[in-house]
Amino acid sequence: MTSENQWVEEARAGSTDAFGKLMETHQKQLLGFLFSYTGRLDVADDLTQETFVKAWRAISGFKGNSRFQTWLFQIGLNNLRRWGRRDTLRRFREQVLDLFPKGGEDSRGIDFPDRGGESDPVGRAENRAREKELKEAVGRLPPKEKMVFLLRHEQGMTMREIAETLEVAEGTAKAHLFHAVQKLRKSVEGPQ
Amino acid sequence: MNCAEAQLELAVDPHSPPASVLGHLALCAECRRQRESLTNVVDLVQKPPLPVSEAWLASQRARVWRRLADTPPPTFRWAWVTGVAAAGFLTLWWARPDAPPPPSAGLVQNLEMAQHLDFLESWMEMDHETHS
Repeated sequence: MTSENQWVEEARAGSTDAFGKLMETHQKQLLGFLFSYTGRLDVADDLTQETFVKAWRAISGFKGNSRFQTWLFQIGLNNLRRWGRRDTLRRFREQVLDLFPKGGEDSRGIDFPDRGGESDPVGRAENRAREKELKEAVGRLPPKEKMVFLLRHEQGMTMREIAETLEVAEGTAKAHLFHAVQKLRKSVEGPQ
Repeated sequence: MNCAEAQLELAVDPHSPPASVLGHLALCAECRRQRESLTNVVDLVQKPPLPVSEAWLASQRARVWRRLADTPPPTFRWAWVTGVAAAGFLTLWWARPDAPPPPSAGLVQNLEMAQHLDFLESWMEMDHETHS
């Protein structure tokens, strides 16, 4: 039995130490994904905490049919969907009431780090423009396509893990990914 | 393998597609172009550095335990909320000012008797009219 499986068993039996180890192991990846998706650290922080709180309360019912990480991300994605609905409503309300000045770009999406290795300043500027374009295009993707794209190409999950996490067939997850990358490709390259 | 199948696989991993896709790519210029294009897109994506320290992560874990200690489990919370709501509803129902008192057994008997009297009176009137 691997140490993670051991911790899961102990956590199911009520060990807070074991759950603490599980939290430590998966915290960074979960937080990183939620941060990428929402583009806001305060939201990602709150969703991560909520996910672990729910995971601890539900862990006695975790059957171990999937990996702990998959199960944890399922809870995280449910929280994310709920947040998405609330956020959509909030944005709609803000637009209707026009409380806030317009012009602030949507900050959601991936924060691409500065790729400072290139010596060509023109090439670097072009690359940064493409990164910005891609970041905005990722922000515009429908929720499922955005989730699959980030889980695959940012978090490096396998398609099987993604399908289990989203509770869909692997073919469905692949189709979401295909549509996502096609849209992103068109955004970066422009219509051809 | 056809182009649609190959492009579905390329979306998953344009850098190292399975051998079957590589076989298709050797024969298909359009899918080779797609692969190059998808590789460029995927290369632009990098995991954003998390703007948090190890100490911050430790404090987040501590916040999780605090939240768990502060809030009761949801089943208990819902049972409590439902109980309070039910008690409040019943209190308001019984305390409403226009609530009529429940009918007593005597009142019911009187009403039944009154109905019989009404019937007798109308019958007697009818009988009276027939005789006259």
